[in-house]
Amino acid sequence: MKVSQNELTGVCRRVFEALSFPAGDHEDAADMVVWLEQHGLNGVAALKRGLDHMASTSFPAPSRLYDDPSLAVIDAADNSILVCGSMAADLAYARARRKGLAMVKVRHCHNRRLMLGSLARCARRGMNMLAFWRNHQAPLVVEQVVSIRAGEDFPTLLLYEVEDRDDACTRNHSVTVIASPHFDLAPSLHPDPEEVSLLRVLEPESFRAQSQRVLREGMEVDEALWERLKTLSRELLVEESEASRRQGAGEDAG
Amino acid sequence: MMPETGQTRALDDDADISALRDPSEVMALERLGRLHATRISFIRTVVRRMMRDGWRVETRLFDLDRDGYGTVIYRVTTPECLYNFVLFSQYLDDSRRSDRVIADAWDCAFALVEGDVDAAKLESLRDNVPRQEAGRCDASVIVLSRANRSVRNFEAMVKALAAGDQPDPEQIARVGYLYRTTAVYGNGKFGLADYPRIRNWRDFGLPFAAQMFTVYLLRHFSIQQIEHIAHCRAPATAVGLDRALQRYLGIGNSTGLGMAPFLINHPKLIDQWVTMRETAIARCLAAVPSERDRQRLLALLDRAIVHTGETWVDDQVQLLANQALAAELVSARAWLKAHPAGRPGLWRELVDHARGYWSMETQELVNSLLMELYPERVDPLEQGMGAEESCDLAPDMSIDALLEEIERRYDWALAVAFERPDSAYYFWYRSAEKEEPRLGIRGEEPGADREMPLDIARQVVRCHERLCAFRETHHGAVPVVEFLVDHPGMKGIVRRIQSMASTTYGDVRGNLLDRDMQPMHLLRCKLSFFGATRFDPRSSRWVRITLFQGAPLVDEMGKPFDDDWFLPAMPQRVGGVRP
Repeated sequence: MKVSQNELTGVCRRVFEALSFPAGDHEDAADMVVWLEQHGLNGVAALKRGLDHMASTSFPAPSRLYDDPSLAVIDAADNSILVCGSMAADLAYARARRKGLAMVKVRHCHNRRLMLGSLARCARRGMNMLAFWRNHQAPLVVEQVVSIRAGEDFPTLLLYEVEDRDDACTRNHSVTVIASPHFDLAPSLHPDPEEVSLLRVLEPESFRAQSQRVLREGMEVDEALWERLKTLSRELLVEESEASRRQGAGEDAG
Repeated sequence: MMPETGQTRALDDDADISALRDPSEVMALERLGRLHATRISFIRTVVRRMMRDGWRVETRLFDLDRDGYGTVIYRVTTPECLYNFVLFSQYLDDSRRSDRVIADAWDCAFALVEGDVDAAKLESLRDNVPRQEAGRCDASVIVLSRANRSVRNFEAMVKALAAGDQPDPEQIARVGYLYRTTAVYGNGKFGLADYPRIRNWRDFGLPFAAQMFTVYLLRHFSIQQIEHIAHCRAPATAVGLDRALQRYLGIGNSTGLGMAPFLINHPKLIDQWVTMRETAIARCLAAVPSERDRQRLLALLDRAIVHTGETWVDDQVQLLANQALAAELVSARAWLKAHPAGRPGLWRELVDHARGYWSMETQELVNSLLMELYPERVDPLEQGMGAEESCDLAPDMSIDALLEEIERRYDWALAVAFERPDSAYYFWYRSAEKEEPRLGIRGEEPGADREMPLDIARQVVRCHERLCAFRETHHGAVPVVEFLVDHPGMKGIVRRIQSMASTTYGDVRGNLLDRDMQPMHLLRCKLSFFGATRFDPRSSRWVRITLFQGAPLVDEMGKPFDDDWFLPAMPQRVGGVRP
């Protein structure tokens, strides 16, 4: 079924609020899903993958494993990046503003492509942003590099197939975010075609075109998933009563 | 398509920014609840657009039975685009007629659609539009709405026309419409077009322009429908509705608490609306009034006195407010009679006098009337009514800077004593019934655990307390993101506070949980920006209003247009006119 951007944003916000995301984080998490969907990278499908886990457990808050002024390592405790992705991007942004360069690693997280929306938000505020991670998508290991220039709206995304199937980055399900106001972190193609093979390149223009198309046509969302999101979001609603129907809404209020 | 929006903040080429009123005055909840429509209210803006751009409305389908049930399509042609207004009218038993959002059937349901409507599209609309929230639309549909008949007016007016008589104007003065909308949806609801899609359109780029135009077309339909029914009932005697009465007929709207969260959740947009209004007032106050201006204001005061005297309400508080308004408008007239034109500062003296002696209701109507004098100073500000609404966190702001910002801008919130139970007496929640926002009493009603975050004052107080404690253990220069890592639940309010730094009038200055809080003020504020008149509270949380009363008719589009239809007076009673 087709849904609008505003509908998807609204329902995602309520779902994350119902899942006990802190105030402010539920808006950011919704924006991450919508950004990815709006730009043709299946944000709703990514949400679906993380939803079972988020809906079935009370997830612990992310914790800092290591911290110095230029590097922070966060443990997402095997959760979706939705739980701490915007905070990781904001941390990198704030530290880079003060120190010129910052790196934030998030370990033990899933659905990392959802980070793109948070990176775009930081770039819009004048920060060059880059993120790097590896997915084990059997039988492949896919290396993903996303970069967005300060002041721009759309990133460049490169996907490579790599041979190394047992490195720490893959095992840890980590994502590394680098921020700097000084230098442009535009990705270049990997110099060694023997070690990696390029799977896909998404240029800023294709992100732009996709977002225009979505505005014209709406977004296609699986109907069963949509119903599930609506059901989850209803947990915020207060059951009706005759008193609330009359007094609460004001028809008969004094 | 020509982008015209994007002009933001005050446009102060000829008004001193310091002349704008202080937000502590303007954004006080009680004053917001006394605002009146102005020249830059949305219905005024969209009427200017359609009149001056020469839009054309043609009846493409008028398939109604003798009782007025069936399908109507109006084709709307503008220099920019083609639209279709598609309406389904159906029988509704009186027992099912409800203005509440929880209703599931209405006298008519309608949509504004971009582009042509072919047979397949019409069937899809027929399957979905009458179901409203339960249906689905696609992105070609810009607005979805529904309306109920005014039982008081409808049958009496049909009867009069069928008998060859004109309806009693006083009846229209008592209830100024045949139909009352109960929701007007846009911006992506139920699959409709997202607002960003139409934001740069000349026709409907300004906020709520498409919604207001759709309501305007309902007014046209309501006139055609009663004439049609009257003619079917008595072809030999029926007459058309007199043009003066057609103009005097508006469209009603019935609104409950659902409108209240909008003002809190769209602070950048509200800031823009109020900034434009305040800028307009400042520009008018800076004018040196000519004798012609003075005479024009006297005439407008006369018209306002008549209009207020012809406004019927049941609510005792509003009744007394209207009576005071009428009396004070007479005083305003006397004051102006005693003060000659031609010297600077006269309008400033008038509003200062109003502030000293008259009610807020009168003060704000005087402001609205002054704006009528200077279209060239006021009307361009309509282009500044839109806003880019994204609110970004500034994670690198220092704790010290954030605390300073809170203490500088939120003194009104920090002054609330939340240890008093009455300060958090109410809570806002969404009901399981169509997600309707409602108000509950804390400790007495269920739902406080799922409270909507409209408690800006309380959130600010809590944030301030935690920031102060954080500063005790960390340096004040630490960036706020470090505080948020430890206090993730504060992100929402921190982001709001930071985003409001670039605004003047973004925050409604009131504690929305307080036992003495009047939610009606929130409803009236938003409705005044729509262009509502005849505020008729049905309870403390429920109001009926009228839109487009006095507006030009569809067949006047493109003809010479005098944009002077604010606060119309009741027409004289006239004899029958053959259609």
